[in-house]
Amino acid sequence: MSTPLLTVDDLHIALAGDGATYGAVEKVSFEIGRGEAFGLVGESGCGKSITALAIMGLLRRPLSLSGGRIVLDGEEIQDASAAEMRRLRGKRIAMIFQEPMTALNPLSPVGRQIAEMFVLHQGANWNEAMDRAEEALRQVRVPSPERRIRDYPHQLSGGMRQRVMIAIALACGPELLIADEPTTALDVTVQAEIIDLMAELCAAKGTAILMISHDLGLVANMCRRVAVMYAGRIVESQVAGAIFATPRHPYTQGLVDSLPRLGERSRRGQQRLREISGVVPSIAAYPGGCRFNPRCPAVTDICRSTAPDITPLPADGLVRCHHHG
Amino acid sequence: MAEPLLKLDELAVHFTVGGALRGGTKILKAVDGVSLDVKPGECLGLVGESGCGKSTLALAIMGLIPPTHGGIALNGQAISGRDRMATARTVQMVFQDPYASLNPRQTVRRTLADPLRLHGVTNRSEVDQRVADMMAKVGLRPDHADRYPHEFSGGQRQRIGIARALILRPKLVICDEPVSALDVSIRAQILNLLEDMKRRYGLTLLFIAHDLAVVKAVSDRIAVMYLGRLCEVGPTEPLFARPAHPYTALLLEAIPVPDPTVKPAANLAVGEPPSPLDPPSGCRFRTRCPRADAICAAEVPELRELAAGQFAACHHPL
Amino acid sequence: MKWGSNTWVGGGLVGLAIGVAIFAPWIALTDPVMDANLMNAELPPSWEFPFGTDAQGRDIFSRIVYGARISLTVGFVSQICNSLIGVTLGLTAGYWGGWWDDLVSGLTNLMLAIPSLVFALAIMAILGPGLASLVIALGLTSWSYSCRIARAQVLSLKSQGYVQAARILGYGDLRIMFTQVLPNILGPLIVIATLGIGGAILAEAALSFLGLGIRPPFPSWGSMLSEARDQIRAAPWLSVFPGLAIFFTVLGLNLLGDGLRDILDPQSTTRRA
Repeated sequence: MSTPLLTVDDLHIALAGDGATYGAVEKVSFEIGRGEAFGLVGESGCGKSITALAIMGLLRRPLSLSGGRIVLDGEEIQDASAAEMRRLRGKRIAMIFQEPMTALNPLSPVGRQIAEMFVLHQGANWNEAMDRAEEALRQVRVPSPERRIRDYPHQLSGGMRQRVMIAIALACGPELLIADEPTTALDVTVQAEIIDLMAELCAAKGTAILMISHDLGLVANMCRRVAVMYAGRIVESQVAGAIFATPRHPYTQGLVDSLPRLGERSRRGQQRLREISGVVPSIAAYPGGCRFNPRCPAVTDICRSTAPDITPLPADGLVRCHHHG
Repeated sequence: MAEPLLKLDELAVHFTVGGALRGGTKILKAVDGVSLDVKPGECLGLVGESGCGKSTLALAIMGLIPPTHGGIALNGQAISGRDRMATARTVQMVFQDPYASLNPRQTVRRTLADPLRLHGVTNRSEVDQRVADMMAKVGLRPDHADRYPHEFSGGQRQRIGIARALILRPKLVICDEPVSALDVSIRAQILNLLEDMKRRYGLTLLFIAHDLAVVKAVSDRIAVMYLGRLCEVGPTEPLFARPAHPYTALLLEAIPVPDPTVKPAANLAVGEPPSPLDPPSGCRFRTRCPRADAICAAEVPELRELAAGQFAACHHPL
Repeated sequence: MKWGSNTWVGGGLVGLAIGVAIFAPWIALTDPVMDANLMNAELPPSWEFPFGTDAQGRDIFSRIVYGARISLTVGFVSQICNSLIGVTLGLTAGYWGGWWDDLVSGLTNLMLAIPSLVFALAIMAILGPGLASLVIALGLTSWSYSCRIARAQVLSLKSQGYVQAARILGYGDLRIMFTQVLPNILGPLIVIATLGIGGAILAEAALSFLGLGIRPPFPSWGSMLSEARDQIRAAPWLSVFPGLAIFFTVLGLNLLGDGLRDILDPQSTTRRA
């Protein structure tokens, strides 16, 4: 078994509040193999985005890395200096974000923003870089790329801008692409195309993907393995098919159940959707023991007092529950 | 046949954009000839992607944007003739963004009580009673009435928004993407709440969303909108099982199914939606439709009844 | 509600100024107008005259104490006038739009193009000198700032869900403007108001310096500066103390304005995206 591309081991991220420090992310561990698509699913506030920022070395006050290791291709990078991380970013690890409008420089033509990658990381000169930028736009299926390279971000639609972001991210052939909710702000038809494009390009270049989303459906179709996060911890991690067919953690089960499904019979007011009661806790008020306990249909006393340990599952899976299915 | 509660007749809402300094004025036809009936007691789902005009349509029905052409009739009476107060007691709206739809300087109590007082409920204890009652019905604790919106979570704020919409006991409630801004695990709660309220108060709902799966869960009938026009209208089940319009089929194919064994189908349509400032002639979907031909560019398709209750605006329906 | 150091220091200074103005008869050592003894002319600060005496032999300390009344009256009253005019015009212009907005915006642009001091001078030329005309003149010149800010705020709030909800619920336009919109735009308006009070006090000083504001023998900080202008080198206490009074009061108002803006900020904190 070859060494994994990325290993995140026992990651802890702290959030400094007024006078107190909160554990925003705790004991998060996962591995991504070379060229593998891995999904990280969770709702807002669960810590998935800041985990991605930690991997990129982009945590800023009041967030900080308070423990654990991040290993990229055998090298530990959690303590890397700012200069070292700058060399890694863009070249070996790249990231795309949810809002392409704010991630792109509104004052610079998109062709130039792509070309910058070649100039900065590969020492190309500008003319050469602009040619390669045009080629990059062609690869992300932007029509008429020779004209689009001169457009500014506001002249492009949301889907186009996200394609530009993908082009920038994949320009230097990184080993890992982190995508943080890349399609949430897009229409459903454009969403499907973007996901398709990402999957195809990454497969062609051998780039691994860490796909972060709240949309289970999206992640299931794209990723080989999926991890579910809740309140700063990974509660379940399995192969994609198993997560949907046999979810082991009550939260995952609840997420799967509460999705309105197209394939099912229409409810027509007869049946209710299955809900997860309660609300997602805020960082300052995480419950003791298992963090899901106030909302869990299978809760017992031990859940309230002791945080559950990891139970390994077949095929490198895991679940963190006292009463896993 | 019962009189429709809401009747839209060739409704059009046009905006003029640009000006002399920006390359001349253009007309943005946000809504361009929509005719729709909403029957009492039903939940009609209105679906479409961003830019299709569904939010503009909602605002026009509410009287917040004046229509350019066409008529809106509530219970048989044209809306423009009614006074604001009477309309307020008949139609209300639930907004999309739970963070912007509540006045941050007002307690929940004031948000719910002021409309009551405005509409003539002067007895203090009756007002308090109705406020507490409505809060309980939407799943909030009445003793939280004196809190401010920022002390509640997104889902709870949406419940307050629903309470505000229902406090005057309207007959028709327009829900403009009420769950899009909420966490996935809260959506089911709010959708169930809307269903409960509909049943309890005998409401009619116009449910606007871009997420077909959500719309399917709550609607009796569905209307699909594209670039300001309706493509297809029909009862939920048949529409999902056998869509008549190619755009409906495209929307259905694009939805990620949470089942890894089902591979997503190859692209049915190419490209992105054209700009609403410059819509294609004839059928607006023709630039992305695999079945388009010359007729589609020449003639605007009308909504025609293809099967019982199922209408589609297409020259070559599926 | 957080009371930061800005609020305390600023509030303290302003409170001190107001207190001095109110209790002037008890704080002042002498009558600021009548107790003039040419034998004591232009004496430097001493035990008997803590801030020295002016050219007419009047105690500067007492004149500053009484002068607070005039300067603060001018500042507050003219600013209230400005705010009322500006906020009303800006609020209605932003909310209703159309020809009213065009009219108000045009008027605002006009006012901003005319130097305010020149405008005040013109009004005072018509009304004649004196406290009342000073207050009226200053009260009509700087409403454009609050008007602009109010209008901009209203434009951005108009499309907020809760304003639309209020319209749908049957609220009338005026009710919406004053119960829904105005409370949510108070923050910047209060800051402008406190800055405006400071500005009015300084304007009064300038007008009095030019000989148009408060005429002698009545004390105002500005006229005291005006009278002292020939002796800045020879008798610095004549100008230093009125100058310091203006300085600390305006500083206090600015700090108070900052602090109030922080206190009045809408309390919603982190968004869950």
